[in-house]
Amino acid sequence: MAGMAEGAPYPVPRPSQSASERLVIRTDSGDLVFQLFIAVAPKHVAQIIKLARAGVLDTTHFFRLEKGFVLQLSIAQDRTSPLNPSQIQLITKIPLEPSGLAHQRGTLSMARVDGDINSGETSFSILLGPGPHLDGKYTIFGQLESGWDVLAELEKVPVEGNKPQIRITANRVEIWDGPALDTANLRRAQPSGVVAALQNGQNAQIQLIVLGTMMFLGLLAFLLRRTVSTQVLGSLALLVLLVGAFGLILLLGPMSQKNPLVAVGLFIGLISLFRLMNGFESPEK
Amino acid sequence: MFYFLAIKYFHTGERAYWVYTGGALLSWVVNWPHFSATSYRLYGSRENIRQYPVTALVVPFVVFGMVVLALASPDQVGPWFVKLFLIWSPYHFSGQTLGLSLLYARRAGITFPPAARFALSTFIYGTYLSQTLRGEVGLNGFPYYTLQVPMFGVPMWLYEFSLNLMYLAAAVTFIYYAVWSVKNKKVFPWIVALPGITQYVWFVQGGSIPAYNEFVPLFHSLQYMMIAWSMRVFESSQKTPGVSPIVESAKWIGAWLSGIPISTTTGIFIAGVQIHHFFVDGVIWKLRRSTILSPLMMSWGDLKSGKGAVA
Repeated sequence: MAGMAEGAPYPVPRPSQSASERLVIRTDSGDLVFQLFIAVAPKHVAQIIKLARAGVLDTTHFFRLEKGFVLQLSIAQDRTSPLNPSQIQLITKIPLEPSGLAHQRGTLSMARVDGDINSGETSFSILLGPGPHLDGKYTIFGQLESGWDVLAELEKVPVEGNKPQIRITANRVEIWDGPALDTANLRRAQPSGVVAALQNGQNAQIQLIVLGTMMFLGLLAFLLRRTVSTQVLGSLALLVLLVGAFGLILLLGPMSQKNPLVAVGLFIGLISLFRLMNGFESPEK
Repeated sequence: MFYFLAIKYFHTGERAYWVYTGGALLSWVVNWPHFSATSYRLYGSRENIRQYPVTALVVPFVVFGMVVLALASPDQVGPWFVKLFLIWSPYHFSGQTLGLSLLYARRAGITFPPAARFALSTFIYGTYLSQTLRGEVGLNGFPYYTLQVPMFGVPMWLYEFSLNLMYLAAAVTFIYYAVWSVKNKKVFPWIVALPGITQYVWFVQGGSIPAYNEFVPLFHSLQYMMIAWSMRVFESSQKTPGVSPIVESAKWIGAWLSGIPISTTTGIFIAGVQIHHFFVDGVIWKLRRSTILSPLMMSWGDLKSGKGAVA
């Protein structure tokens, strides 16, 4: 999982402008690995490395989730286990280090108090989408390098307002040297238990709706069989196929990402479906 | 072609501010009217509705049902609904490209033998398949109006196979053109080859240049509008009655009713409108229907006067 920012569709600082260290946030849903922009925000990077190495950020949690915008980590004082005195001493304010970088999905941005641009301490955000209104006003000090699937998984957590309905804990926040990352046993996206349970319930409802629609269209075709042409009956059959295929995609789509054979089968099936759709309401020969 | 060359050689290719703005403006001016033109053709006469009852009367409800399901489940259904549209869309472009190629061939008095037609079809659809597969390799999705669209994660060899197949089919097609030229002692009509070459530039050469890619749907819509307009000229001369098209603009209502962000409902409604368009476009432009084919075989003068409709 180490290496250049995979999946980032926009420019990031060159490798020479990044620290060799990587910030690794370990959650129940998988691990996130960030580059740190030492050339752009040296004070922020140095402070974050110091805090992470001292365990200050361990067991903090992401208290704010605005889908498509931001996932924000709490302040260190709001973690599960209390800070010890030496950890508290390490927490200091960091002055703003503005840059020309843009806030985009995966950006690490230091949070601060409104009205005090130099009040950044321990709470920071991971952007989930563009945030041009933040550019120049908040310090960008890093970028997601790998773990995009984990970020997508975290974004699925249901929220009440901006508050995640389940606690998303940063179990450990670690600093790793880039070359040593291969030994870090990084975990890919793991659906959290509560989200998985919620999703299973939703899946059952969705499958019911899909099957119900297929049955309705099939019944319609049967009832109209004596009054409509074979062109119409054939088209209704194709619609049943389309709805069923969509249901299959919903079921097998997530599986395809873990099994290339399923991926190939789904893709070929989809193209074949489009080919069949060429015959939709075709004139009879 | 000119825009492709300009972007490739005189621009970095990034999706700059003027690209976003131009793309959005031209979408309103060209792309959306092209959707409306399709709906207009279908619902513009009772005869069309009678001829295509499933498309006119059943498909809108099925697509609407899928939109509602996507709005109700924006994390699970929404992304795959959008994915269905995004994979179907360039397939739909390819159908238009092939249809145009065959139409131009017919107008030039050329009938493709089955093998040559298969090669041409494989080349055109190959441009679509290879580039779509290229995007499906790997697992990192991408955002579409805040919906995180997943990837299938197909193996690289499938993309490479499709790319090689496309080039092989292109070679066979152009060999046919060369053989035809030699046999008939004249140059194969370039207009027949143009749609395929154009699609190759759109998808293969220009596909990885964001500033170019932004406008490919516009080029497709412009291509379509020329044909739709010429049909309208013909039908005006035939005094066919018509009604106003239904305007697709329910995203604000959807956001208000569902409580999810307008950016998410926009993505879902765009997918719904486009999938509906694929159905309608697919049925109303079937060239095997003489009412569609014969006007497209006419000269401009005959189109305007409306004479000589061939059964």
